[in-house]
Amino acid sequence: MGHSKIVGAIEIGTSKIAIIIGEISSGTSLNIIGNYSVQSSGVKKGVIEDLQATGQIVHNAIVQAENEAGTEIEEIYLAHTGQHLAGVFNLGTTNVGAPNGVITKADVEKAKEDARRPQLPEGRSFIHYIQNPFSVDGVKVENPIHMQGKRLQVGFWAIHADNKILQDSLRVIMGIPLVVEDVIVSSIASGNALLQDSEKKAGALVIDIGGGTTDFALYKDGYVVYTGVIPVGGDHISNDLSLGLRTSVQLADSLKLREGLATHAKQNSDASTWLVGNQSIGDRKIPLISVNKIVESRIKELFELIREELEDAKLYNPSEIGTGAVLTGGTSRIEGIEFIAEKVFDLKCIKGESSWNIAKDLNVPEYSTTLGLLLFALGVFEEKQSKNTNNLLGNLFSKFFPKQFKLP
Amino acid sequence: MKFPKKSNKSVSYQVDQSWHNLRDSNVQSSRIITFASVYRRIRPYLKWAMVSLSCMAVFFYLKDFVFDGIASEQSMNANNSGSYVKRVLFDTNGVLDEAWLSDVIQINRNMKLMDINIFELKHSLESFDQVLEAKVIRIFPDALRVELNEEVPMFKLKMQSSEGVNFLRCVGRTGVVYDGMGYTEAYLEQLPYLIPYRHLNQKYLPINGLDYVAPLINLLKEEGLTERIRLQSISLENFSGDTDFPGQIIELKSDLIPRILFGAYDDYPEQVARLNYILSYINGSGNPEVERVDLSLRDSAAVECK
Repeated sequence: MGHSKIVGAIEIGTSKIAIIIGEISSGTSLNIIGNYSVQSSGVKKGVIEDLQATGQIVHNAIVQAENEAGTEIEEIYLAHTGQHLAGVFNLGTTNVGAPNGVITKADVEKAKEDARRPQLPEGRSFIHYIQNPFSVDGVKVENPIHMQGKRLQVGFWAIHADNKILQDSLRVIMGIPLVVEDVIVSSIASGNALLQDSEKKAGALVIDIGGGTTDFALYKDGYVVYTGVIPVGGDHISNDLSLGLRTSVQLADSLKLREGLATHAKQNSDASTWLVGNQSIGDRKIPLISVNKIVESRIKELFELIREELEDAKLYNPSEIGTGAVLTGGTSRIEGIEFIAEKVFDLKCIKGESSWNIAKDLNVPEYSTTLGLLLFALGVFEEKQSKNTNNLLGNLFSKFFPKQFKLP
Repeated sequence: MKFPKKSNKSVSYQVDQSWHNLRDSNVQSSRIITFASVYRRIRPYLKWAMVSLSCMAVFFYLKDFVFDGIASEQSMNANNSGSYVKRVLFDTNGVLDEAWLSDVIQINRNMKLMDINIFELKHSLESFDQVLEAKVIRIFPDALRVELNEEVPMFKLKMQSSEGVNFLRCVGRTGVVYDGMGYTEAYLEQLPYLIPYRHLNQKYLPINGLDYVAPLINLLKEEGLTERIRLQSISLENFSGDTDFPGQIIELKSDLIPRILFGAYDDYPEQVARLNYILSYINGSGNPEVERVDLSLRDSAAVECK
């Protein structure tokens, strides 16, 4: 009988803090037992600037979620974002040792070791070290062992972060006190929630448009080959709207969510809307086309920045991204955003939705990152369990066949 | 909910320069502490504290109000039943004293308070005609209180024993005849004699109708007439006690006027006023010797001189 574990997943975002609590039981079953979302404070572009203010809200959110779940979190997974995150592709190469050219496990380890050789500068730490496909004499293979070749290569997409910024996030969580079991980059967490393995294999671009930042991850052949963070999010659209319409950021933000349309092409040029919406004193009519022009141009710029970054990394090839672009995050709620993405990326674009049968209030773009974290935790739990099972089988085997006993 | 297995190829890096080193190093000492974090830390203890407090509350409630209550009641009963009578508190509105009480009820220090049958004591006290009502109360832990409501003597009755010995008895306002213990001779001296009604069986007792006589005597006392006429006795020879019978006469014998007849009606104030007037008239007329004053004639009074 498998035991259960209460796992929390938290995202400390610029505009909101979201937390989901799940119970992983019997190794494969995940029950979501609590969730809580609250407006963030002290966070700018994904980076905590006021530790005490953020800590207060995060800690309250955790306690509230625990109250809803009726239990305490045992381990927590943290989603991380911010422009301080950087990625580097490390390629490890080795010549096949065996004279007959058959690749062994030792060759694989040697190639991996070579890939890990590059060191980071002082003050930075690796978060992820994501293995990419092997290649034997330039041909991509899934598992090179027992294959024949002269040269074995393996690449790793390594994501590293600024120590101080990452430490601040850890200090907030550990103050509650909870031990952060793992830190996952937001775009990878979102991809984990929204994409099936087959979609990853077909190639996909996950774009998580948050309040302060936009995280993206490019999947090819089932592997994460690139991740990035653009310090532009929904807040920038609200900010531009407030400047353009000469109103407050809060009003502009509500207008964006209420009337925002990412494409003005289909807009009736005479259509207008009220700024506040309740026609109170000070409320005024605004032409919708001017609102949506601002929204469209900002979103277009954002997508262009992503495309440029992928092109610079020489990874942008629409034919290799079969699944297309999957949009998530709070800002992806803007109507018509997928059409702008289609134009910019020249890809099929959809708004991401989890295919799991989960509660309606959780199957929203705001929760995709935290949901992905929980799925990641489930995977870790499964791996640990299978390791334990293997060990158990090994122990049983060694009991019946002691070491001194020579197998025929 | 069952989720399909997903490959976590985004492995967490756990070797050199890993973020795990940050977590395990100096983050612990500089973590952010807030009210919520402190609350969460002590929450399990709070739960236990609440449970413990509740248990303690239940325990002390049971101890103080249930078990101890029963025990204290039992012990009180045990103590009280075990404690000896140390004092007898005596109170009366009459003349009986503690000496009389100690003769009547036998209570000593070897008696336990709870062993005393207070009802029996009450009955024995009330068996004395002089005692109208007796209250016997246990005062825990060691005292017994006796309260008496005594008969007030209105008259004295001269009686004779079968041996021919004369003796006096007191007559209360209810007509009860009793020994009259504790009264001084002077007190008894000033009480008028009562010549009671002779019943059909030729016996004097019980004396009926004193509740009609007593108001008359009280009224005379209030007017100061009992001393003025120097009241000697009240004769009920013509008063059966039943005012429905006609001609019911209460006769007073005094030094000043040998016979004063009152009608047993409800007009005592008028009769007394007439007597007062007659006495004043006599006094103003040179105090002639009067043999009889008859006030029972309702609308008038008759004065018979010698």
